[in-house]
Amino acid sequence: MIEFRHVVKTYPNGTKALDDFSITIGDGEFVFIEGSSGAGKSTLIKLLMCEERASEGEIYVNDFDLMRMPRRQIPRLRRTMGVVFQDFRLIESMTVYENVAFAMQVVGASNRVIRRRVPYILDLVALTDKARCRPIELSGGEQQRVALARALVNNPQAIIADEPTGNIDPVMSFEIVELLSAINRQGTTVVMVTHETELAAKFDKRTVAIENGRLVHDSSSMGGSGR
Amino acid sequence: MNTLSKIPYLLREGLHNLWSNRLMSVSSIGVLGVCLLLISNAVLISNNINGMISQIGNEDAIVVYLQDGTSAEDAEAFGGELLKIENVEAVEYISSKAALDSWKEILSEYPDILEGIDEDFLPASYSITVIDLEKVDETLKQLESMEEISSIREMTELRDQLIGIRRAVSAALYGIVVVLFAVSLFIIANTIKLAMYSRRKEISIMKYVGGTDWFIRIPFVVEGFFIGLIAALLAFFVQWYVYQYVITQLVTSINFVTPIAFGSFSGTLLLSLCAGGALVGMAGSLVSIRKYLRV
Repeated sequence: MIEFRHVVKTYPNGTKALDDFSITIGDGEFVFIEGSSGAGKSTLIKLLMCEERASEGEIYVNDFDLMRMPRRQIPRLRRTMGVVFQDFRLIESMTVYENVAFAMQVVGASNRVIRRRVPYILDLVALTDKARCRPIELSGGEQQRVALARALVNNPQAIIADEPTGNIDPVMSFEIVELLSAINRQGTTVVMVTHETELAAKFDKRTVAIENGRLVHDSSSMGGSGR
Repeated sequence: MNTLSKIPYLLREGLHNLWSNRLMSVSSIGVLGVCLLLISNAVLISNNINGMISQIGNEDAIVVYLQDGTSAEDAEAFGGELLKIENVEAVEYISSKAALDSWKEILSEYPDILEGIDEDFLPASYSITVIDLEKVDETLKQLESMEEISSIREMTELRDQLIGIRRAVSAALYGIVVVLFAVSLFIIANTIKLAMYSRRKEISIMKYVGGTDWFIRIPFVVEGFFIGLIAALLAFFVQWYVYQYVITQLVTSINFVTPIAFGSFSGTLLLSLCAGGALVGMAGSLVSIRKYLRV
């Protein structure tokens, strides 16, 4: 469950990135968050990950109260979410397998569990035969699938995808969203931030639009699909 | 997910850092090694100077003359009394006869001067070797209250000079150690900063997948630890050579003092260097990591 109540975020330089922003995303939902650049999408993700703290309002993410949570709790919060970025953020010196295993090592999983889990996840994103490749040998779509595998491997409650299709071609983009839908069908909440409204329109999902830091449209409140 | 299972991973990561930044690692090991070597040389030289001062100053620092007519037995018993005083390390009895004999030796070219003088003409005395030159004043007070003593002789001026030298040497030593430690810390902090910079992407990913601050820190602390340890070992072996062939020769050339043998402190030196190096290494890492962890 992700809940923003009347959230305001003002940066030290005076920029108001979010203004009285409220949204509730239930467990197992799939939501597209649309908006042009500068609309406040990135700030939304930063607040979700507790990379930034809101100036006003209330934020609850997977039972964490982000406004009152001490700093040392942040790693626990982040373990409930898997993040995918536009620029993939894979480590070039590691193979596909190692990139995914790395996320498990960081949270202290044992080697036995890692050896069992990573091949399973790579199979899920159809990258088993690329396990030994390095990111540079892969296409953009494949790299994003590795990033998705890394986000999924610790079995998060939610996947947060920040413009995951921004750097890949339309066909691959469609595949990535389909993959996210498949993951969502397993019960994982998916929040995908994008500026590609046409791509989002191809899927019958809840769509939320932000403009100048305010929520201007929510398909769920207009009788659109909730899932 | 237990903590123990993470240890091999964290160690491996630390050594991996050390290796992937090997050029920087080697140069910081070198510079840190030199710093540690300078510190240890400063300590050893000052120890030798202190040793020298003790050899010169503590021995026969005080001479007490006994009352006329003290019998040989009473004098011997009095020696035992003197040894009970806290700051007295050793006493040497010089009988009236021995005192006269030593004067005869000194004046052997003019034998008639001491002709016909009684054997007990000079008073019997005790030459006292003290433990700590700086506590001589207290010792003197205790001696003054003893009835058996007729007079006391001690070399106030020499003592003050030696104490002055020793204090100056200690102050210089502290200064050198503090400055070199600060330099060492700065060197390590810079190396680790570079290591973190080259791994900033990994660090940011670690933060996003929920790695704790300590999990991210430890590999860098391990790296700092090994840089410090290797530098300490290098410094120790170079120090060994330098001590045997330079300092020992130098001290021996001042012909009335003997240098402290390397073997008598090598264990302590090795341990202190390793502990100091490792500590500076880890502290330096922690200093530079603090800034990077704010993601």
